[in-house]
Amino acid sequence: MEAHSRVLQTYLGIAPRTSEEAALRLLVDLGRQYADAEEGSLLVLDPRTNELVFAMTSGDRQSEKTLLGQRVPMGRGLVGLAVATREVQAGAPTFRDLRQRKHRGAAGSQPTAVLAAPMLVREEVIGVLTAATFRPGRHFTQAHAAFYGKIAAVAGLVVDQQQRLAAVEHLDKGGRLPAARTREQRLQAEIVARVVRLTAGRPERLARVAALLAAVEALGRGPQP
Amino acid sequence: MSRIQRALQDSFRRLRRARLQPVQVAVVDSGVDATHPALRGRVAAAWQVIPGADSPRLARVSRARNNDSFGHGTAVAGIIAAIAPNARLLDIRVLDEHCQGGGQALLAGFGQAMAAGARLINLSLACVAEYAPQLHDLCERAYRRNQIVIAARRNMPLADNGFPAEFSSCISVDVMASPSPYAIAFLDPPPIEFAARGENVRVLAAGGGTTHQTGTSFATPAVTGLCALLVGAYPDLKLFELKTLLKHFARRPACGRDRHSGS
Repeated sequence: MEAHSRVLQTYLGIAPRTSEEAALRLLVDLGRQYADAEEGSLLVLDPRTNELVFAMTSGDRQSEKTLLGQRVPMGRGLVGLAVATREVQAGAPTFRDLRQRKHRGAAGSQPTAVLAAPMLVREEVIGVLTAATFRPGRHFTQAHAAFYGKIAAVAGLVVDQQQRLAAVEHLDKGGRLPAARTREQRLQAEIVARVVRLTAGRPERLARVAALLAAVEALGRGPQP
Repeated sequence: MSRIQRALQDSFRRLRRARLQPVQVAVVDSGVDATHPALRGRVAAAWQVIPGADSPRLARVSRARNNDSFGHGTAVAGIIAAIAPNARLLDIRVLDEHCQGGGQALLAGFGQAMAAGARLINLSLACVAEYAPQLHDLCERAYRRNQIVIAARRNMPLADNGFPAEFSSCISVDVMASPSPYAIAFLDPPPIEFAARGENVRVLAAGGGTTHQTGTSFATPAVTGLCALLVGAYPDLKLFELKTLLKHFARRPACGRDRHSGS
């Protein structure tokens, strides 16, 4: 299995050579092309170490070789800030002054502008889509940032739907739900597990459970005018 | 540039040269580098969020140190300080020592800004809807105490514009491209009512020097700076009066501008 596939499967549950993996690749390419960036990438969050791991790159074959699987500590830079604020961040990497920025940009070793959009699943960050340019004087606009925010949201949705589907398929085979990451996810998993147990081998109960949940929902809304 | 635009800039520039009352401005953000030469002597007090068992709390820290690891708050503070020479900055860092924040930390920081008596509270960070009820309560309390909240619209608004920018009890800010830090636009309909320069803005970098940033985060402090000028000249201004003045000074957004993409 290729390095990027291992990373995607380990941290996002996206299997290699699936339509979900292709969709994520498409979004990384689309974003890079829209922003006219030399490099685009998808980094996924390793919640155990609080690091981001390069899972996909686009635009530069050399970067693909060197970056995939590389880990980035989350506490610094625009990518880290995108995670901490759950917001798209766009700008120049922080350098001490403009002369240094120009010099390093001209050398081609450091990007002159970076765009980072967090991928969210139910408001939890699971990764970041990034774009980078190395051309001196180039910057990303608010329109680029807004577009990246939208494709990052779609990428998050792809992963979310895949994870939900995998959980349901797993349960269908009599398995247990995968470990939840947040308290909200644990509670959701508990509710799903109880419904599955309650209706296992008794499909006629499903309609009654659905009616019961609808009644609880109506109670929560209170009296309607 | 139209005559009206020139007049708008002249007005704020005139205010900037006038004798103004000092105004306390809270920067609820990633911290501020008070050692940056452009901010030396401008930070009046500083706090940092400390994670707690139940909820985070704020601890007072030195006001003469680099309290910012990301550079976001320093950039925001630098914009306010450059526009409003009368702004006295209150640095309220809502990221912990691991650079992690969240809704609870932002709520704690917002509360600290109010308790510290900030006249203006700059929120270049947005919360998700989960925290909307608590933020709404804080904004209402701020309104009654005549503490003005200036809040950024989310850069990636999908289901909402982010909170507290959705509330009418604060001044909410979108981004636009403009060469002038004094340029603002009035947006109709609400909830996001104003836009200011926030694209490829030259900002202060934590640790020294400058860099360039784009986003609503950097448009918001431009409006905060303009409010600091107005409040410095007319200290008793209420929120609705400030909004009226900002609308008066504003130009209409360019025709056909897509408010949702910012393009």
